Amino acid sequence: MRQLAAGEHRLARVAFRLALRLYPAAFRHRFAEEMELTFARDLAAARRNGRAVSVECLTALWDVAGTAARERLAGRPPGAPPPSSGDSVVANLWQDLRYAARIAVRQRLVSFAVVATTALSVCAVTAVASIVDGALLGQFPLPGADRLVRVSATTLELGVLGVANPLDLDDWREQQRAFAGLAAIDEWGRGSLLVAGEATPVRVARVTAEFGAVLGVRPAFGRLFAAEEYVPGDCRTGQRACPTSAVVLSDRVWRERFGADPRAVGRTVLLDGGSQVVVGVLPPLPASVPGGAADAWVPLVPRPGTFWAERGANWMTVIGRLRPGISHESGQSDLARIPAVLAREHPRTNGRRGVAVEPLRDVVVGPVRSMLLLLAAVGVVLLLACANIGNLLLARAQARRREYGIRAGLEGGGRRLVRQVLTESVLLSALGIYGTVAYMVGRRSREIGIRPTLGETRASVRVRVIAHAVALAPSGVVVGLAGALAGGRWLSTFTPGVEPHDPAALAVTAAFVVALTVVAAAVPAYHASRLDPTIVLRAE
Amino acid sequence: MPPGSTTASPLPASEFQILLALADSAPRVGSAIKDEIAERTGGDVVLGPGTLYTSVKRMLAAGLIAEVHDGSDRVRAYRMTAAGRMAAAAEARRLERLVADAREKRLLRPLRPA
Repeated sequence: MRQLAAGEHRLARVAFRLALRLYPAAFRHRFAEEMELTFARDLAAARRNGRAVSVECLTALWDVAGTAARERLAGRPPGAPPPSSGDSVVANLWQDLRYAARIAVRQRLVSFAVVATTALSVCAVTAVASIVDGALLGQFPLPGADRLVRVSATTLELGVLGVANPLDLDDWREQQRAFAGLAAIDEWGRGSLLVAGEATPVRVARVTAEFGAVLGVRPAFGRLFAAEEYVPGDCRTGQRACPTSAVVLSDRVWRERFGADPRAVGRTVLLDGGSQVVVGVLPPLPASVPGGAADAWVPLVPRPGTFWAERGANWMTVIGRLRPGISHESGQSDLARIPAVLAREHPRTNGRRGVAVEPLRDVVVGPVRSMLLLLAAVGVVLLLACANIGNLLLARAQARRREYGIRAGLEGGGRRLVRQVLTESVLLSALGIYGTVAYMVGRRSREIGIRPTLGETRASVRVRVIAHAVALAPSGVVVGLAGALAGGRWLSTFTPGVEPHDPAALAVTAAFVVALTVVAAAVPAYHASRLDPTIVLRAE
Repeated sequence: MPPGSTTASPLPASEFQILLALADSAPRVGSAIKDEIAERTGGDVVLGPGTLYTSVKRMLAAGLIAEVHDGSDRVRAYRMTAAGRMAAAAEARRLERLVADAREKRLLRPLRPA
């Protein structure tokens, strides 16, 4: 036990000694020994008093890291000796960074051109990529969005109608095998909601009972509609509940009209003059999904003697959720059997009618193929921008040949020079990565803002944004390493005897790029996790 | 600048604590300063080694404390200078005025007459 404690003690002192390297050399020379003595005394006291050595050590390391950073930012005191060429990596890195910043400021035109070209081209690619991402990768923030389809009637003359007939829907439901559910939505239009004597204009959608299950959303409070609320009947008889007496409110209306009070559920409101009981509140839905932009949902109830009795009109939007593992093509061929049967039974209305099953993403965002072409076009723009940046940096390097030559001679080798050039590039890269990720978060604030209301934690939003940025890093690493191999060869003409292609250095660089990406993406990721869904949705 | 003050801005809390630790004693080494502060504040203020020695560095540069060598050349002790005493007194007066203001605003109970 005592041996274990002694080992822990020794390890803590080694860690502390290493951490002291974070201070500027002058500070270290003056105070390191005293600090080590003080730390050793603290450790001994901690052990005597039964406190954990590891906690004592971590507290001290945290203190050292913070004060060392401030000490470095405060600069060296006047008269202190400059650090020798063999000083710590940190000191050199700090010097390189300051030099890189000075060069960037001095050569404003080149720096501005590089940053502006990078920003413009990367933003263009990110903008298109995020739309394609939304279209291809199920970025509707809905569970299993890739299994959502729109089912609609087709005619020989007009093609896909985008809407369907309710009696056809009944037949599809009875005979289909590929769908977990089919829901109908009638975006009814605008209405007026009267709450506590104050009228609010609202968008109303009528939905069938499967709406929540098909979209995969659950109410934030209360419930969706119960079976008895879909029973056709006459409100005026008073024998049973009026079929449209229940209403589900949107998150927006709930916040604005009820001050986000959970007790809103159960209250009675007037919707277009009819008395309605609030039975639930839905979380924010993507506005692009049918029924998603509504402020209030009411049951889509079959009324005898109205549209429901006729097969003639196609008027409601039908969305379906495919069973797991079933493609939309399989869904299409599953339903395609039915129109022929209906055409025989109802030749007048269904004689020339077919059915179409389309992925909901295609319907909402547009055909994916044209999106990919657009992405490819913007990708070419990015390549051209990279070539331009390469030319600019090459021209700058040519102009600095004399400086490089002198520095290679003065600093006794090319390693320091290579590190300096790398630092300058890393500074520009960090700016670029920060800008790119911040732009991406801005572009997708609506989608990101909704996620927490669908059960995603702030931490997981942060991880998702950083992971998105890190996913872009490999392409940067490949292009960057290719550039480093070429650039290293050219730089080595100034530094005879230095082998520019060090596999370990390349591996460390690749890891560094990923780490840099994480650091540069951290601030936008933090902002993303703090987005308020009510604000981003209102800004829409 | 308030009358009697020797510093343009309030002393950082860590520096004021160090001056208090040295105010009524013989020179102390760094760890003794740290222990005195922890003991006096009942463990509420514990200066980490980094905070302690970066403060010591600033205070040496500002002339608020001075080094005392004990001859072993390994351990240095620190004592408060006259400038340090003036700065600490000015800071104490500043805090005193602040407390008086707080008392006037009824954030604290009024002082009972002795």
